[in-house]
Amino acid sequence: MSSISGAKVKKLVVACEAGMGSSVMIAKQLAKQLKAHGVEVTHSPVNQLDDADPDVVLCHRGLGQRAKQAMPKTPVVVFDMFLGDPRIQGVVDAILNGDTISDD
Amino acid sequence: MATPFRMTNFLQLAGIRLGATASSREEAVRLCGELLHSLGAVESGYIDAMWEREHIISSYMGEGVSLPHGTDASRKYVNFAQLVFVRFSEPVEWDGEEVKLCIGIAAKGDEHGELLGNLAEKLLDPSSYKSLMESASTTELLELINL
Repeated sequence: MSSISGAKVKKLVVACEAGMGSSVMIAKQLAKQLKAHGVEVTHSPVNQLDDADPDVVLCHRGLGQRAKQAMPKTPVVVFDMFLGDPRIQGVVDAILNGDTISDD
Repeated sequence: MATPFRMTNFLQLAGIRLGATASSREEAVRLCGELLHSLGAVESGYIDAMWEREHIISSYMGEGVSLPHGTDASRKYVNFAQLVFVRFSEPVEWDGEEVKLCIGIAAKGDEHGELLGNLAEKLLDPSSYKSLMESASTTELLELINL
C-alpha cells in the first residue's frame, strides 16, 4: 500500500489503455478543477506511467492491477464509473484539503 | 461570413445519428466505427480496433453513455480527429449496463481533449444531459457538443 498527503501532489495522472476517450475526458475535467492549485493533470497509457512520473495515479478498476504493477510505490486509486464516481471526487477533495491519499 | 460553429468541428451534422438501432454492443460499436469511416476520419482497420478495445476495458462511462474508440496501436488508421454521436431508440445491453448514447471517437493525439472535458461537464449537468439524450434537433446537438 502506498500513500501521499494531498498537499504534496503536484502531478496527477489518469492511466488509460489508448488515451483517446474516457481518460482524456477525466484528465481535462480534473485539470480544470485543480489548475488553480498548481496541480498538473495528464493522462498516460498504463505501460508508460513511469515516464509520466505521477504523484498519484487514477484509473478504472479494469486497469488497476496493471497500473499498480507499473507503479508499485505510487498510490493508485481505482474507480468504477467515469462519470461522477465518488472516488474521483475523493482524490480531488484530498488534494484540495491536504488529506491522505492511499491505495485501496 | 462568420461560421456558425466554432473552430475545429470535431462533430459534423453527418456524424449525428438519432433513433439508431443495434441488437448488441458489438453492433453498436461497429455502427460508430462505420460512421467514422464513412466520414473519412478513419481507415476500415479502425473499426475492428474499436471492438478490440471494448474487450480490454469497456468504454461505458455511466449515465447510459459510452465512448467507443480504438486502441493506442490503431491511431495509425486515423486520418483526422472526429466524433460521431449515435443515439439509440432502444437501450443497448452493454456488459450489464444499458447504453442509449454512443459517442464514437477517433483521434491521433490530444487535439479533441478540451472538447471531451467540456462534454463530461455537459453530461453531468441535468439540463444539457436532457438535451443530449432527448433533443430531436441535430443542429442543437451539434452546437451543444462543439461549443
